Amino acid sequence: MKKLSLVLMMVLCAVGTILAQRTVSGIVSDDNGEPLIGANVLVKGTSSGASTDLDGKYSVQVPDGSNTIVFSYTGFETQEVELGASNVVDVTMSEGVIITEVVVTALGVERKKDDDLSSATLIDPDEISRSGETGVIQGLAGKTSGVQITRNSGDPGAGAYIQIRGQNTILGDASPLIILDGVPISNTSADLGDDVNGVAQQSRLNDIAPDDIESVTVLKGASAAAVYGTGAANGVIVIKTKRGKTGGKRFSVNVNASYGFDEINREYEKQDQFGQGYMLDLFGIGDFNPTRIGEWVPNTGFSWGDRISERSGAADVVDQSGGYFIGNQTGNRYDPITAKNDQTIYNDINRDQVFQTGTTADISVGINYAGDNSNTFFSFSRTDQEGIMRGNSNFTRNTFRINHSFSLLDNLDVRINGSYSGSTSDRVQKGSNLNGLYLGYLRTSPDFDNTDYDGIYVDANGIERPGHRSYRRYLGDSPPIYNNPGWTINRQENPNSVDRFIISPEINWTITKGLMLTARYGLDAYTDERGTFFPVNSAGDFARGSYARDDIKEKTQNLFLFLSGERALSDRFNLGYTVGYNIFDNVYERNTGSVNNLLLNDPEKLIYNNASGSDQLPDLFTSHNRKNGAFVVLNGDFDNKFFIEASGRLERTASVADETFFFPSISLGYKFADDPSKTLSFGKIRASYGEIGIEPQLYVNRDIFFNTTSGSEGWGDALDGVNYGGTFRRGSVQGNPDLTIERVKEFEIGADLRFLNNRLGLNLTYYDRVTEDAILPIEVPASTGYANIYANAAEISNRGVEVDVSYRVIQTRDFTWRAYANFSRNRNIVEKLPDVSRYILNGFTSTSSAVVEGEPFGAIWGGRWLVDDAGEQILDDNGFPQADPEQGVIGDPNPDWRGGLGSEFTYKGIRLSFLFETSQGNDMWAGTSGVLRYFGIHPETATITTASQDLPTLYGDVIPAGTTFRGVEKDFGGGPVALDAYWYTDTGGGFGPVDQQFVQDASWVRLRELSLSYTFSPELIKNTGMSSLEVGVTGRNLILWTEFEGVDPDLNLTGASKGRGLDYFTNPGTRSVLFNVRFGF
Amino acid sequence: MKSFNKLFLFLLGGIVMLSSCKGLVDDLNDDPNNFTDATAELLLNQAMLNIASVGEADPARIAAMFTDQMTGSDRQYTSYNAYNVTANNFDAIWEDVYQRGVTQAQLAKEKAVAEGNPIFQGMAQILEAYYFGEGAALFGDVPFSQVNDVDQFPDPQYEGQMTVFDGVQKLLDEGINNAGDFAAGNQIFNTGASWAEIGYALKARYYMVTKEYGAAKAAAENAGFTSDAKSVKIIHTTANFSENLFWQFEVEQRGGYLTWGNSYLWSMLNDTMTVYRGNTKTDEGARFAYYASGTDLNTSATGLFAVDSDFSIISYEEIQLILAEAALRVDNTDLTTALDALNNVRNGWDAKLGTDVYQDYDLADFEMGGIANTEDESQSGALIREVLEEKFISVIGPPTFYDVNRTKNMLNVPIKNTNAVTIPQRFLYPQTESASNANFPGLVDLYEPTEANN
Repeated sequence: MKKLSLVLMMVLCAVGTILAQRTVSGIVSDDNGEPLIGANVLVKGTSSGASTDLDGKYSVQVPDGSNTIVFSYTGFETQEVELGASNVVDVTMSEGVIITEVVVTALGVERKKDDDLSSATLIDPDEISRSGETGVIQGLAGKTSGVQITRNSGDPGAGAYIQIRGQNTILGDASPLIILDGVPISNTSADLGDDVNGVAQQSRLNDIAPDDIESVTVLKGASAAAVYGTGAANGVIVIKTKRGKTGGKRFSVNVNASYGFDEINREYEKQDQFGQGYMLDLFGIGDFNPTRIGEWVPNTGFSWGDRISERSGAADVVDQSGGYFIGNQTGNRYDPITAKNDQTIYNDINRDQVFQTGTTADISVGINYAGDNSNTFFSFSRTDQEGIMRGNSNFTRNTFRINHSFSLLDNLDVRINGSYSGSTSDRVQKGSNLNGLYLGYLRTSPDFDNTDYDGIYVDANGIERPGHRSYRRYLGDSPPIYNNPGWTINRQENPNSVDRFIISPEINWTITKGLMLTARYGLDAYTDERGTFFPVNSAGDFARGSYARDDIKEKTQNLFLFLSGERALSDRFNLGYTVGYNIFDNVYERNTGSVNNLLLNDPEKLIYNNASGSDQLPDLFTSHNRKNGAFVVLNGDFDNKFFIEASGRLERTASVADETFFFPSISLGYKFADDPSKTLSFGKIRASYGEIGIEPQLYVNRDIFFNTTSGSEGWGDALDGVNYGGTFRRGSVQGNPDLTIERVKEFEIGADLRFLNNRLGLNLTYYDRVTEDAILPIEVPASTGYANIYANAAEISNRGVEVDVSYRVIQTRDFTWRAYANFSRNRNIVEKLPDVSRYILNGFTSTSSAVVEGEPFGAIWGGRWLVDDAGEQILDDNGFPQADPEQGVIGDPNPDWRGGLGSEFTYKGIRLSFLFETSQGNDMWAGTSGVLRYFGIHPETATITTASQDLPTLYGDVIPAGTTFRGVEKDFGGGPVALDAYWYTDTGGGFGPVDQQFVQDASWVRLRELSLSYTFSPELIKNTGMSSLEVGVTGRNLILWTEFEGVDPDLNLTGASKGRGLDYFTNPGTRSVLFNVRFGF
Repeated sequence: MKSFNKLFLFLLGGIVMLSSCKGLVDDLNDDPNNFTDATAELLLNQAMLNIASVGEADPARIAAMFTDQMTGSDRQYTSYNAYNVTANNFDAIWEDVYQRGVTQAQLAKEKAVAEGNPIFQGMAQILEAYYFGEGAALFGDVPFSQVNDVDQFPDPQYEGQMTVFDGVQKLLDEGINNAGDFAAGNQIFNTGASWAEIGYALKARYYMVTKEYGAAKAAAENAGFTSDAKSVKIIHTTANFSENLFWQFEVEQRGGYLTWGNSYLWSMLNDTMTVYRGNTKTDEGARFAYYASGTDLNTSATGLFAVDSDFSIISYEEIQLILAEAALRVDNTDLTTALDALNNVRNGWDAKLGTDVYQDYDLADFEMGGIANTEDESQSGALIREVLEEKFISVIGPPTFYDVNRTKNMLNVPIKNTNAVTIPQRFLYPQTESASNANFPGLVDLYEPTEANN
């Protein structure tokens, strides 16, 4: 094809000579002054053109009336040059800005976006790199429509959730398929271990160094992914890593170094008026206290105590006759307090005990080598991150990559990509967790100083023992109920180390012209070791210490064999075809060991047999999955105007071994305009239909019997059968041997348009996708002997619109302004969910993210107000609203729409860019806020009110008119009532039955990125030996506008699991500034 | 062109055959992580240990809060304490009764029958009856005869509470017959009772619920619970996940959720409170110290809720006091049977506490003006009250909940919700059941008495 166009050009050139008025010549070189060989030179509006030779020289005939020459070269920015008087035009072309967008198909084949029939979008790797995020996923945020990125937390190394369009499945994988250099790699652990407690987990995409990436293509639609059958129901992210360049210099080296500062981006307010304690009537003791101001009581969780300002201000009176505590941090002695006089507020001190400015240092080195018949890319990168939480919060990653390709024979090319990634990290316990950071930190009373968290308790007999001091146990004499946050971050350890190898060799054999056989193999193997250490005296279950470790091993292998070719069936009709076979094999093993009640308390030695036999609990889970499929892809174009693509995959998969499944897709496109000189420079409409599948989980085909525990699981008290001679039961899930696959069917239409000489680009897509036969455990009455059965019962729909716009507002030689925007709207509805009230995806039994028939996917489910038919609250005799005994849907975590808006300005070497991102209409359950009300920490609970009239409290006691009390006067419609400690510790608090009151609008707008950089001109650095030099500064997440209280709503308690929209003592998010320097030589 | 077509078709055919090859994917869907069957013995162990889920865990705590034996003082338990409960609070309890209880007992029974092992069969029947009995007593009308047969009865019918108890008594009779005097003590139960004796003890408990006092008296006598050694206790040790569940709940999991607060039980034992029940023959100081540490549960090594304190599921005290009450209900002149049983329990406490603070009552103490007749009522009335009071203090958990409602709150335990006129009469049907069972009878109000108490 290329040869043909060259010939054509030469012929045209010859023809052009006759009409030419002048000959223009010159040299085309890159930014480094290296000549570019084979660059295209075209006289605009004519067919007159040329290519540059080995020295970058060209000569072109310019016909009469033409005065613009267009220079283009793959991978370089196309330039238009107005001709002046001179007949010599030397041009320097800049690398990087790709105008001829190339998308990569699911099979790893590059294709011009203009010819593509899917809604695939390409993300510029510079934009990912510039974001300075350590994870590739996080760097995608806001960059394209239809993709939602939500962080697990601000912990270093914590992963993120990535959702393309909407959720399609209840039990199947939530994440998109990741294709790295043509081979699927594992992303399974994205939703493993992301629970309401523990630590935020990584994403497996964290293992890829952002600077290694050459391109990222997001395939959103089903038709584009149909060749993967059951593998790609959630869309596909196709990542290509860099490869050595052919031509140009033999060696080139690029170095990118950055150093960043991170800090917490949103914090909760805590009241600073009232001390730890309560009023006795809260427990029904004594007479009702109408001031609703309690007394100081140590060790209680409540901050319903006395007014701190009314204390004498003298030193606390202590009793030195008994036991006491010596703190390790300050050496202070703590005796039992008999009178609390101190007025100091410790909120700020306690905050500074926990938070710091985190740092991220990052360096990557990429080396290109161009051999005669080969090219090689080698890279090394290292990231060191210290979290915004002090103590054991960090992330270190080293990556190596070598991508090597060479020609074995003229028609036989070999490519081997290999990478290693090793990371170690330590994150902080979060969430609903007595050992979690925020739980202990936020609940701490304002008059309690957390500084001393460990030390020595000396009992009344003078006997010493190590202790843990927290606001619930200020003498450190017994386990702390809640951890002191200092203990959580400094004493507890959650070491995590990942070693991952990915190797993918590929052989391409060009059998004849237009016919190629490809064999491609991918091996992705990693180990992920997750340790959890609770020293003796930690809260809750771990008062006697605990060490647990998960060793996860996963090996994914893929083999592709495919034959692809092209054939011109007539002058106007070209047919491309690919016929292939793929086998996928995945072995997963999770080896878990835990020991409790440690015999020796040594944080350096994490040893399994440091406990008695019955306290050592091993567990092993293994799975082996395999599928194989044959696929065919046919694409034809007629006149380079009409396009058709059809594909089909025939598949067998292990979980439904008896059936063969077929997944078809067809796409049609019509290119009705393609002329850069016109106002409508390019126009294409496209429509496609595709089917893909989701296989049933393995091992749900039969009833299972297993060793059990008894007790109340939800509360945590349990008896393990192994301590009682073994107890086995038949599981509550009825095995179903008749399960079949879930089938996703999607219809998509769209248009790709460009206007004003390609300056304004617009991509529009509408899609309508439905998952039929979605599998979930259907509730059956427990009286049937089962609680659930897996069934192909549900139907989930996704409908939406995606718009991407980009506009080169100004483009001159020195100054450019490019603006871009994207918009996505998705409706993700659970259409059918027979026989199930709700299925909890994640969360708590009280409040959860669930699927409910007729409701948005992941709807927030919990306790509601009791209302009458008109929707009015039904009040009790005292005028308070009440809880509905049945729970229901109380919120929708899915945004109404999302969008991004950015601009990039360049002036000579200066580049300024910004990106705003927004999510609108999404709800979130503010569990933290509700619970802080319960404890009397929330600022609202510190309100002082004078009763306008006699005010009943929740339990019927009356606050007389004129009384000044701690609480709020409110009229629910039955006359004013007092919202006081009774209210907040019952119906009006986070532990009460009404979760609905804490669902808040979590819409947000943020300045996702602001970046300024300067690229030194070649003249300035020509004596330095460097070929390029750029320095820059990037601000990330600098400004956040949201109504949501206390924490960045772009986080999620349950990590990358399907449960969305929950906040409960989630570790906070960050904002960052980072400085960066890049240079090459 | 032809050769191309041929090659294409050949390849296509080849790979289609390859992908259709079942051998590559066959046999991978056999769960390597779980068994697909278990023995009758292990299933019976499950049915036994799971009794703790009903008698010692959340249902016991909720029952104790409802009857004001204990106080819910923190978080969700504050709401529970004021009877602010919702249907979903009972999902797990229902599953513990039916899926983890009845079902596993029935599976064990099927295996025992197949193996021709009448002892296992009898044990399974007694355990099955326990779960049905507790289910009916807690929830009222419940599924019974259509249970655990998902193919025939995917939506089991709810049967009347009294009908279910009839069935429970029959099951117990068969169980007693089959298991006979096979000793029930094992790695789970600390008891000197035989399975037949446990069967009779349960019969007595459920005849009390249905107010069939004659039968209850006979069953309590047959149970032969003549000493604390016969009490059926779940064994607890200091090993992780074998500790006393109240200890786990208060010390490890939910410190401060469950306290004595100033509960009725606590107040009756506390000599500073007006309802303190001590008199010249009774000093509750030692028992108070055994139960409570201030207003907290006594979880110390010497407390009722010590880490390794075995928990009574069916106690000597319960059966003796059933005998006492039933004797009087049958014949209110049979005062001596009741008095003897009451004194047995008082002596039992002295033995347990190592004290001598419970002197034997005599009948005169219950006469009008006697030290144990504080409400100026008849002698038999006062004795019944004393028996119920002693039971209220001695038996923690569901059986007391049944007693308070059966007697229409004769002890006047405080009602902790200002909008309620009684304590809760039942546990709410779970949300899971209302969603999934086509024959669900509808949510019944918390304060609606069950059939037995109507």
